[in-house]
Amino acid sequence: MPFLQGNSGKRWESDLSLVGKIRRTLHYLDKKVLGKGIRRFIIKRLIYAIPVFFIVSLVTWGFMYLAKGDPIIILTGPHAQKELIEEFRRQYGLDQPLHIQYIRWLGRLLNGDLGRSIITNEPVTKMIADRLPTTITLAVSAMLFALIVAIPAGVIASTKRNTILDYGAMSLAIAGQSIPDFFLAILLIIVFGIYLKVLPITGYTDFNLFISNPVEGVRHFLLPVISLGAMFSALAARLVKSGMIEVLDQDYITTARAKGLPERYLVIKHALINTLIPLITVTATNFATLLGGAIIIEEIFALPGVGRLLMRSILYRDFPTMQGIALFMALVYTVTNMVSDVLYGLVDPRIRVE
Amino acid sequence: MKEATETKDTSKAGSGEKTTSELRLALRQLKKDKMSMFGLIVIAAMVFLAIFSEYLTPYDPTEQDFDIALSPPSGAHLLGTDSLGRDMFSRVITGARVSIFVGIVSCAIAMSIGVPMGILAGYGGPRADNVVSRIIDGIMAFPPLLLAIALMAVLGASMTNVMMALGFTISTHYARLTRGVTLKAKEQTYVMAAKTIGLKEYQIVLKHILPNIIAPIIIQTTVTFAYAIIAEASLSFLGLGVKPPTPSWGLDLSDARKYVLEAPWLPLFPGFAIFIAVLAVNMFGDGLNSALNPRERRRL
Repeated sequence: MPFLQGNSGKRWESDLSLVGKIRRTLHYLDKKVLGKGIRRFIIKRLIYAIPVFFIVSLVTWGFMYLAKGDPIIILTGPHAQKELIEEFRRQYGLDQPLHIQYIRWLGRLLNGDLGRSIITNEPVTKMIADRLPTTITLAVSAMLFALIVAIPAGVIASTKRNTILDYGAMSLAIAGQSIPDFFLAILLIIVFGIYLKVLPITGYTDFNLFISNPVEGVRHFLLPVISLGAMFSALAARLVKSGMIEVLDQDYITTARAKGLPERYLVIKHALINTLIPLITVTATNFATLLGGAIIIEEIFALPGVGRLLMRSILYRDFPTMQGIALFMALVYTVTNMVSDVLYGLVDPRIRVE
Repeated sequence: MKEATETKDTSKAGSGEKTTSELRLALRQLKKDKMSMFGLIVIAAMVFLAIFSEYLTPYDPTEQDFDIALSPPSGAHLLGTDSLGRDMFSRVITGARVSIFVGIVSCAIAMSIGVPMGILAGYGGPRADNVVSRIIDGIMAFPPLLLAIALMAVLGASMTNVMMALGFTISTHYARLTRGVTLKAKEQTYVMAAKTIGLKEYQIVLKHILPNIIAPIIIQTTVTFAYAIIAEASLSFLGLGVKPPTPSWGLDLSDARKYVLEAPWLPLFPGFAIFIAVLAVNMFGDGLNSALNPRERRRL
């Protein structure tokens, strides 16, 4: 390990910090000592994603065939003539054997074509793209809100162990993990929307509001974001607490403390940094749950996002739209997870070796 | 190092009495944990309500009386009435039935699909592992609620379908967990020993692997049970779960939400019922987790 020579004085300090790890990793990349290893790791993760995508596509496609009722009958109506039904069947390629149908569908999919809505005849990709900013804003702000609350709460609970602050934070956390997002949403509506009348509960029509009137946009998103983020926030706070405790109980922390390092330095430089890495993974995996939760939150607050589109397409049995949304959400999840895995691998060399 | 001190502790504790088994230690710890005992009592009360609700409810939970629709809580109707004049108290009590039944059955379905899949992946060698793991990854790529919603949309709303949809959705979590713990158990010396003395593969799996992976599966079940209650309520809330006249907390909450301006107290009852049920399961689960987890046991 030639890169370690000559900076042995600084080595121990940077050994544990995130910055040090990144700097070291970059150094590896520069010198190409392990460059191949990292590249191989990233390529391996990409290859892993291929069968996952295949399964995802198979499941989504399978929904159509699990459905009660022939999609063509839905299209033509139940009283259509037999010839017309046959004609439609040929037109949509539904007279072909199943595997041919799947391959054709997959081919279109790889070209970015998710089909057209049965109801509005708009391309599904366009319908999703139109509503995406609302959903992404909701999910990402819920996640940020959750982390902004959870990290200080977890740190306080772990550093002031067995105090009223610890018990308070952790009781709130277990309550937060148990309250369904849709009930919290209704509670917030009753308190802030109906009794106090300080926040709007409906009336958001599209994302342009954020451009024309950002303050009003934020006001519309406040309650949905809190309702959606609460459960993840509780989970993250408990994760941060247990992760911090694990580190703070280690011998090297006692040593560092004995050495006279300030407590704040210990907590932030050693303990918190160590919990951030698992926190990244948990955040990435929970992003899917948040996207799923967004469906119900968008329904309650009448936010015209992808989730509301999904519920509408279910109501009208608009299968291409349903398929498109399911596929899209699974894709978002796969990509976020892949990115977090690669990040994780970059920061922690043990993961790369496997 | 931690492990070493621990064995010393157990042997010391064991020398006083006969022998202290892991299970007995776990139960003792669990009994001391007030939070989880409270959770257990609430769960027991819910099960009691679910079984005997017919004898405990003052009114028929599906009987409608439009004259008294949306009336506030009173002596005659403890929690008031809903938009169709049905007694909310009776509906909340009977609602425990759907939640608990759906929770139990969907966890059972999930376990019976997920655990064998996980063992196959963990014990069946790298090829089986690769195939099963990719399938699990693929299914888990869908947000769990989205998958359940989509399944309900194609299967149609009914209680049986809710249980099947949730069972399928949750099974992947069991599969992933079981795979992990099986992989670890497989490397243990006692499995090697069992192989050496010539036990058949199925004997090793049933007698040596399974008993050693059961603790994490039980802990997982408290998590999935709580999730199943929330998911059933979510599906019913969206109109994709249990069908209307049946008293279900999610259904009642979604109905009460429509009249939140006229009767803002109404959503609180089914809502808090879900919250308390899930809270009880989570509290019990937390206690169980630290009781069955020797490393946690010492910390508390």
